[in-house]
Amino acid sequence: MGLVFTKLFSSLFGNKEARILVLGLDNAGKTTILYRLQMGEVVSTIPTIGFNVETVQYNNIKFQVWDLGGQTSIRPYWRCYFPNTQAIIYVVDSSDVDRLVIAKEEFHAILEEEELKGAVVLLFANKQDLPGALDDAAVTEALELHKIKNRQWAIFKTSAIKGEGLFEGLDWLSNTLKSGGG
Amino acid sequence: MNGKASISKELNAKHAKILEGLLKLPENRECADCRNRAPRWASVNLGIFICMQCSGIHRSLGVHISKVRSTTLDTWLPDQVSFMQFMGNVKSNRHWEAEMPPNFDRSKLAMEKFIRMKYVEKRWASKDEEQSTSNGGIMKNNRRLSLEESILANHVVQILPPITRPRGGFIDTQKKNSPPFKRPSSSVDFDKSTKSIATGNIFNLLCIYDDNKNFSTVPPSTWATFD
Repeated sequence: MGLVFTKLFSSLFGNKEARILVLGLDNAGKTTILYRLQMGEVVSTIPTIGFNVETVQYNNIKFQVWDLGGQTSIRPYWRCYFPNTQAIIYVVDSSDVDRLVIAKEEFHAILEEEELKGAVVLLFANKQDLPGALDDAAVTEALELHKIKNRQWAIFKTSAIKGEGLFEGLDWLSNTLKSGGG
Repeated sequence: MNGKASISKELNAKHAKILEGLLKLPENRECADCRNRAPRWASVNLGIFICMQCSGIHRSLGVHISKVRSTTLDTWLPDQVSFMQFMGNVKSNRHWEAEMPPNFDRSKLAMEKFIRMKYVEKRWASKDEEQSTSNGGIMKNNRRLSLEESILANHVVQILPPITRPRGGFIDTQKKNSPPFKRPSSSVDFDKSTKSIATGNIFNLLCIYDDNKNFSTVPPSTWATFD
């Protein structure tokens, strides 16, 4: 019986694929997170002009993860990648307090996008290893996440350098996607 | 900070022109750290132009050490542009590489190690000069100012003592053949309040070197402190 159930389970969810966009201001840590998830390593990065895309297999989901450059003038191009996206991973440099307002504005602009209406949102309050980093509650407040309506979302404290919090976030994401979100 | 909403297209274009001009100056033609030619990135709090490879390393230090922007892909705030005009690679390195032995070979070190030694450990930083970044006070003040622009602008005009106009600072920049630091008022259309704010900040950024190379920052100390 257990075997039947397992087979049924994997036939339902085993081949699930999800298209994920990793967004956030420049130097939030998007590329470092992508490669930490994909390779389990900290890589040296340079600013992403354009995008990186990698496949990450986790919890029986094949995540196609798109990491898009975050410089001011290339943010408008994010929208080219919006169609058919099941989830957004929004990355915030929790130590860059001066730019939290911008991070908030960009975030809420994304939520307004028609093409992303169905996407679930996972936020990473990244760079928890740095001095002065705000915790998840403070980032929640700064980004005014209470304003999010009709959408499944969650925020996790992460340190891509130390490898902390990322897979907890991905657990939430895979559970949410399996249960029909996105 | 870096609020794209608050920076008009016109102002952005003017900033781009100013930055382009700064990058053509002999002192900024090489990366401040690895000396590669034609840097196109910058650390806006250190006031230096750096190459893309070094920008990646600066980004990894955290914004409490270095705030990296692209000279071509990012929107800049007036104060950030002003600080780049004021500082630049030569002036900055005069501080951060002051104690470096003359025959020091930076290519012997991995660039990441070099940059960490330079800005995090402050291995070769000058002992006497305190001010070499616009970290802390300046940036925070700017942010607060931008929220209450007009009120504070008036306040600034009142509290700025005219006698403290930093003539020494101007003489110094000319003597050292770095770009004369002046308000880009001829080329940038700040509105009146912005102009006052920017001027106020510049007074804080300027410094006076006397003959003994003693260093002092120019008041008003009430709203700029350099750690």
